[in-house]
Amino acid sequence: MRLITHNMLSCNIKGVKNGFPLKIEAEKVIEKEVDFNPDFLRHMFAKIEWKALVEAARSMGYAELPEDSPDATVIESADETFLRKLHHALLELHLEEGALVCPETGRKFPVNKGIPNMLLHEDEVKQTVCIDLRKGNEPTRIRSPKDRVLMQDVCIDLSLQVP
Amino acid sequence: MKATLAPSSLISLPRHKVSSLRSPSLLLQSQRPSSALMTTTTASRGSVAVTAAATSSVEALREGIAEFYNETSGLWEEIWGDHMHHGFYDPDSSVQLSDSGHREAQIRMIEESLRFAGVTEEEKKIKRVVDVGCGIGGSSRYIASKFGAECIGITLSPVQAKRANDLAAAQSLSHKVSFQVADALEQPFEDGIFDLVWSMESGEHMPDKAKFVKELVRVAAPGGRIIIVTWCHRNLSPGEEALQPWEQNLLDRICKTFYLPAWCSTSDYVDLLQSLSLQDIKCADWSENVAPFWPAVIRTALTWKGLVSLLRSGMKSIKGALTMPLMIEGYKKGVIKFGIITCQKPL
Repeated sequence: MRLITHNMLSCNIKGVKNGFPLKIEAEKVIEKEVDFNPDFLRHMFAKIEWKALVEAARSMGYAELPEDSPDATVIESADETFLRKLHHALLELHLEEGALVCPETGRKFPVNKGIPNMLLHEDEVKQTVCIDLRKGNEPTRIRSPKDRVLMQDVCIDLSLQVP
Repeated sequence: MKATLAPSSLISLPRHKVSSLRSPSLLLQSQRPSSALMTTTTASRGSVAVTAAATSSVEALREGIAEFYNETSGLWEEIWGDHMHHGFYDPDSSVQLSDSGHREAQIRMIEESLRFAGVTEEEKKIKRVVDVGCGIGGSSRYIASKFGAECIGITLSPVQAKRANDLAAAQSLSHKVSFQVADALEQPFEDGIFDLVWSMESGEHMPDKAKFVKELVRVAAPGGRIIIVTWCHRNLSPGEEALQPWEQNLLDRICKTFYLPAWCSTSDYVDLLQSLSLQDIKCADWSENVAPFWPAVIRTALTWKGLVSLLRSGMKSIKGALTMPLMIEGYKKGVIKFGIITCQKPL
């Protein structure tokens, strides 16, 4: 997993408000050379969450990025020193083995052979149910607006979210 | 492998049958014993424990899908290459296509989908793309190259994710595309980060269409486009409550082999998008444009190479291959439709 990817991933566990950025526990980091493409970097720069990238790069052993995001003049200038550092951090560092950790819950998402597994467990996923009066207190899952319309006369409270 | 997968059967749920169809017993039968039912109690309106039966069969479906693709992706790639979706053909084309003709048709499917969604004119704006149900990354790599954009793909199958990453590296695209194991119903992304949300023949696997669409919309950036290309069942006529029993039966038989939950129609997707206030919603029936695909897949399966590979690949592939004629039957009889639905998220 490269840091350009990490910069987009967040923790989706129900109830989590601040699931980004994921902390990195690095067990194995490798470097793979990638062709330098300044135009691509300039194109992508605006979308990068800078603090998250700096912190993540540090977790991977690279501390060359400035704390603060440089302004547009540095990006657009002919001097490519900064862009080369960005290139290295964003595209050439790979987390092969380790984990991504939710900043709020501490839940670890494993990274094996460079691939993060972001699947949530059953108990981490929110369900929407209503109580179907025709079935006593048995909850029925609401999956669609159609379900809502169909159930509205026979259900209590169509907004229940199951933890 | 996509070819051996039954087309996602989308069953229009008849209105009066919705609640029963939603019950766990009608979700995909899992191969594993479901976990014991949890107690269902209503302590108060705010806290309800849902039965585990419903959730564990969804878990089982997810595992089934992952295992299916773990087993069959290699076989598909060997015979058909890295695009795990239908080709787009001119209707009634009677030309017997070569293998490369079919591959071109698969590329054309991507281009036609982008064009239908109105994306091609907006190339500069596409910086980040998500490929939901990315297979071994064919679409991702193609789209990333085309737009010079960053593309991230998600799949339930670790085997597919690994292969997708390896192919990206081999094509020197590692800096532009990456793949992870994640659930389309719980996408591990912040809201609103993707300029293009791409779902090419993965919607058929989603047990909760509403949640699936909600997630696609959530991760789309304001002004971003969503493209869903998927297998549906035919739209119901006004006043029609459900598919005919024989139609549902056909779809059920396909569901089992290919790990597909309940089907829905193209109209159902449009309804969902409308309910979420998306704009510029468009849909089309491309069934005629994909008609040559399944016969071609069957032909390749019946070659010497195909048969040997199938036998090597395992039971899931074999069962899948045996189900392929049902796909053709479904299309011929107008039960199965190949649909595209696109829209734009408001600014």
